[in-house]
Amino acid sequence: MKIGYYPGCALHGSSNDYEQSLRACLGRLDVELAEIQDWICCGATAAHSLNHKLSQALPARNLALAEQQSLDELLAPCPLCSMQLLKVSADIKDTDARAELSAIVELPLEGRTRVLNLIEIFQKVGLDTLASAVTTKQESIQAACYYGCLLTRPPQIVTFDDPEEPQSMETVLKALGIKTVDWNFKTECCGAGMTMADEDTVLELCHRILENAQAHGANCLVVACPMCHVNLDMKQPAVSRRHGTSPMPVYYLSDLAGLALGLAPEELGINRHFMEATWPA
Amino acid sequence: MARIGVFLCWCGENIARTVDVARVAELSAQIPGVRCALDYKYMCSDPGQSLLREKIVSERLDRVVVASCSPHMHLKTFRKAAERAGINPYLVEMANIREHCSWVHPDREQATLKAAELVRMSVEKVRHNEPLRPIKVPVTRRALVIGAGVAGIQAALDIADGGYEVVLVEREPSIGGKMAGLSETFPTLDCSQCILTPRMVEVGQHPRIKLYTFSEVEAVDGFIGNFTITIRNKARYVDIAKCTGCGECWNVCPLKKNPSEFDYGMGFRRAIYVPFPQAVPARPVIDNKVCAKLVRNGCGLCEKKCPTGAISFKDEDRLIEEKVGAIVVATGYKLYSIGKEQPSDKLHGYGEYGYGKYKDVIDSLQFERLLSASGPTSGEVRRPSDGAVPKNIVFVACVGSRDNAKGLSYCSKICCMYTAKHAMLYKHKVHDGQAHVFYMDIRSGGKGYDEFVRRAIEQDGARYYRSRVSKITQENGKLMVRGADTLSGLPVTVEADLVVLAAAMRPADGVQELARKLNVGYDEFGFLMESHPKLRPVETNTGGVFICGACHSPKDIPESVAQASAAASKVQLTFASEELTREPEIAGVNERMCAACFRCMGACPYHAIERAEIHARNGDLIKRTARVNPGLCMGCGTCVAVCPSKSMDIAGFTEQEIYSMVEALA
Amino acid sequence: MSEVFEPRIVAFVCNWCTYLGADLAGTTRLEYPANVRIVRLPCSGRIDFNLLIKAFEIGADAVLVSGCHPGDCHYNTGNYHARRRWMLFRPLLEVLGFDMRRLHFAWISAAESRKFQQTVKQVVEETRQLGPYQYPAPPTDSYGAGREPHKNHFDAAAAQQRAREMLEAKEVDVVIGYGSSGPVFIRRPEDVDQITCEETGLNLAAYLGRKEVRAMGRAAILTKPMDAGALVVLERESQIESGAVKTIPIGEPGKGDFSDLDALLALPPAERMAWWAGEFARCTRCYACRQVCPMCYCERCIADKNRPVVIDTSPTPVGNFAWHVTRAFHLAGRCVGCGACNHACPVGIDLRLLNMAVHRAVAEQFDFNVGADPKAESPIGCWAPADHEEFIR
Repeated sequence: MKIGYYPGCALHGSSNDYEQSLRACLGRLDVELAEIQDWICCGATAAHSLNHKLSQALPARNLALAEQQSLDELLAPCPLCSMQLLKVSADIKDTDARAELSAIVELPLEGRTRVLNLIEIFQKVGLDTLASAVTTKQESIQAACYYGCLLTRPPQIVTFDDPEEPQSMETVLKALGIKTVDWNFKTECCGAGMTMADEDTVLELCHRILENAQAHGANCLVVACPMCHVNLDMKQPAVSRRHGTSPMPVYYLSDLAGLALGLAPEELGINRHFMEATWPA
Repeated sequence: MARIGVFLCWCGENIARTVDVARVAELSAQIPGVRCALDYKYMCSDPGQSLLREKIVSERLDRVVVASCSPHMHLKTFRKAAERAGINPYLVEMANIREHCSWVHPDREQATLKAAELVRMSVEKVRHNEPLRPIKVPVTRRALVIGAGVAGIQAALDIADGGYEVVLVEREPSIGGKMAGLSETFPTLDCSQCILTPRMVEVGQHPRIKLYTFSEVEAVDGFIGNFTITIRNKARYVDIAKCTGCGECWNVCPLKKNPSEFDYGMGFRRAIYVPFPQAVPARPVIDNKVCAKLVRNGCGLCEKKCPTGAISFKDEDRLIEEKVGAIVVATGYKLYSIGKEQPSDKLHGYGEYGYGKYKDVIDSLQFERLLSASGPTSGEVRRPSDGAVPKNIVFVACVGSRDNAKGLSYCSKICCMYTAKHAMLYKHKVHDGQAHVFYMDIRSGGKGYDEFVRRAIEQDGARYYRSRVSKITQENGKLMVRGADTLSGLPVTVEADLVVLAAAMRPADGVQELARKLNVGYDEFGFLMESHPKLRPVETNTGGVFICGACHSPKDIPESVAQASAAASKVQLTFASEELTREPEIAGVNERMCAACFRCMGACPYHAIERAEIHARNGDLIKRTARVNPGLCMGCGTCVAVCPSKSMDIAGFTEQEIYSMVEALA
Repeated sequence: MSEVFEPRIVAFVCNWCTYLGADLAGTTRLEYPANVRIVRLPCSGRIDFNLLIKAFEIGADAVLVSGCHPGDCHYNTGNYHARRRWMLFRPLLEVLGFDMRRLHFAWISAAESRKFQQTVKQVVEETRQLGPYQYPAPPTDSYGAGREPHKNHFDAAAAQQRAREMLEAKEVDVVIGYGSSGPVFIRRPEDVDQITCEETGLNLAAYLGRKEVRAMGRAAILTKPMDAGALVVLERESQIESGAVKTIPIGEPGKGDFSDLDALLALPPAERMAWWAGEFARCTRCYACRQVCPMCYCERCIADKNRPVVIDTSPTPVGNFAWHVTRAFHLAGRCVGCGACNHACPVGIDLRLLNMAVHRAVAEQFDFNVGADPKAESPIGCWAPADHEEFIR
């Protein structure tokens, strides 16, 4: 299966461990990622608070490029990117808006491309296929699936799961034979947006998430967002220092899937995380 | 040759200022068939109408055009005046030379010419008008009331007390509806059962009320004044005529742990049970899904114990036919199901509130049962998980309602009030407890309503947070209710022992199917549609079908009762005479020309067109044809527009009349 | 002397919303040009396309059609039915090249006096710019010959064989086929050789409704690829019972295409209108098109109605225009594309183009397949909340 791939800035920069994990894991499932040639910023940066048109035009150009390169389905593993792309996909259902954006980006734009996140890619591969591809049972993992603020929101735009009480990540992990815990803070804010501005708040928010996961019996967190990962992984020593939280590895969804599919932690880039992935097995 | 009279009104200065009325009269007099054309200062005045009548007689007029104001203003007036002079009222037309001419066109020349043309159009129309007689439809003076909650009970009693027979159909084993299960009612805090049960007994004993409980409306046929209703009387396995309600049967039933519908699962009942002690009829019913005899031919103790032999396990559903002339729908409401599972994909549940997951998160009707003296805890507030008295209780308003993300945009209207009542009653029962209320806005319009809410806050110390609840979670045995107080701008977390969710009111199950049987419209949420939101609030667009109570929209008890009485008075109005009179301006089929393609049937908003067959005397089929039911047709004419051969036509707006008007403009 | 052109506007309005909106405009003294004449009807659902055509015939320069907003109809859904018909009527006018700027639709409620005033003002002003409406004068040299008679050969032996089997097995009482001159009605197996090997473009379903054919009993007909759909429509319209008529398919299925229609639509509207005027000018109103159409089974055609005369019965330019519009519109959601009308027309008017325009509008807007399911609701006579209305003010 060939899927278009929009990495966005994070996966080519600070979170290239996510890209490594993703490529290794999906490669094992015969999913070929075709990166959009000449892609640009998704517009989730300052653009959307400064210039609405610009924040539409940036993702619109990426969609137009995808169309040009015949990529009908597009994986955007970062929820910020996928939200921006989905938002503009919805906007261009209006023919006038589409014509205008097409003129701005100087490319034909039809709105054919379907934007998917990582969970949806797994769903597309098929839960049965996943289950049958498992080679290494991960029996000691008790994962707390953490969706964060953006993966399922805003609900008008992102419709693949219940925005407040999502279940899709659990279903994927269950198919892979990995146990998950029922806990309370799946969609709470981790504070990533305030990382630079207000560390106190960030540490408090991270602490609450980690503590609640642990209280419900989790021995690791699973995320599908580079921001969540940076925040919960990199900030954890500081959280522990301040709140005494016990350390806990934070995995990308593709990490756990990859392990279950028989990949080594190094192949998935798990060794590059801040929190040591002391494998409970 | 027609003898048409044209009467032009000055309307004082209103018309005469811009329209040269005398000149219009002159021009009108030249139209063939116009015998006289004259103008007068006020045609609608007494002398004006006398002039009209005199001229009809003296000039032997057979048709009249009055050129004055809008027909919506005075067509009836002039038709009546002409009728008194012996002309069929439908041979009177108006030309609107005031609203559509003198008031909007300042140029005297243009206005005068237009007025003359408007008169010519009306003359050409009236020339082809045909005399019409009002349609008479016989009436069965007997009413059907569907649903016996407080609205249905009120409607049934009003109609029956008015002297007409009522067939009252209730789906549950007892009448009483939701109100029978409530604790106390706002804003007076009188006990719900104390005010309702006497009315229920009245229904049970009323000589003119025929009560069918545990029954549903299966089919509806006919039209206003002449409905035939098929009622499904579901198998009860207890002959309520033989049963004395002694209770021997349910006392011996060994199956004790069935969640009680009446207690919304907060308490238990047997397999043979009376839903609640004050039930009407106070006769038991056997739950055929759990009864050991019915499920696997075991037990049978109750049958042996019954002193009157009233129990029969062979009982079956029965279909009963009733003839009625009017129908009142009072099917009430149910609560929005809060949990994640929803009946339709348009609705989304609140997985984040833990309803169904945490035992101590309940809905408002369940809490009513905890408050009720007849409830499973005998009126003590004890939480379901461990029976402890909750010291901190949280009420969440607007659960489902006013939330587009969950699929219901409307305000459920009564939740603000009953939540205040809940907080108050809780405090009255648990003196050292604290009630917390999360709300969006307090909507307490109504007599004594706002004062009531203030009392809950000021006297009973309920803490109100203007906040949506984002999440309810359980931590260390406590329910953590999180929100953000938008007045203080701070996040709020309340540790609660019990959480009560004020779920939105939704129309009762099956109401859409019923609406389709009755041919009544419903909105996107399934609430039934009234004929006019202001002027015809209890009528529907189907003649003879009225609505009241919460099947129409969320309502409290006083409003439901008021509406029920309104519906009952509309029913009595329908029954005021033995025949109904309807406007004759309805559709009719030229059956000889009809090609029986039945495209009109799809277009008719009232399902007033039926397939008919014309037979020869020997019974041979000559042809098929469409036929209009004059009891149902409202005269919109959509059928005429789709009829390819124009075999369909509307009296009073015939093709001939309309084309004559258009051609008058040539 | 240059006089300002004063257009004549006829407004067909419903009694409960727009008429009252106009009343309110009067009560609140909102002035508007005196060019408009209002015809009051019970409901916008009553407003028939023939009325609009009639208004233009009697000299209107523009027509305004107006009713209650969706959801506000006094009769619940009359306006939705109206909207549905307008959705199909407009594409038909478009292919005829009719100047759509002369036909205005609006939802105006009883409270919208200002909208009524503004709408009338705009319509008058726009029409003033357009100038008077005139049906194009037909070219004098348009009296061309009809097209060559249609002949198409097919394998008669197989059809004869099947007909014989059916008659012998008493499956049917009569087989209708193509004979050497017109249709043949074969009732005995030994007569099947009267079925010849050329079809003349007729759709034999057109004979099913005739009294004398009905009297013959159960029928089977030879059907060209497009013909059988007619049976579905006839069943949908209660003219025949389900499965009552058997078919003997002949000929190779072709592929329908809209290239002729698209070519016509590529012309500017005024040229289209002029072209059609030339075509219609040849029409002698022989009604062969009606006679051969399986869908034209009315006991009395609206064209023959004389009280009132909806369509001018003599072959005048406006009468011919009205007839062809009516014929095509009455086929909306019903025409199966058999092409019999085209073959029958003795003066070679390409009637199929009109049918195709309506057919395409039905297929595209309502995803309706005319000849598929007899139980499917016909697109006229029903409506959907999502019906588009960008053309309505």
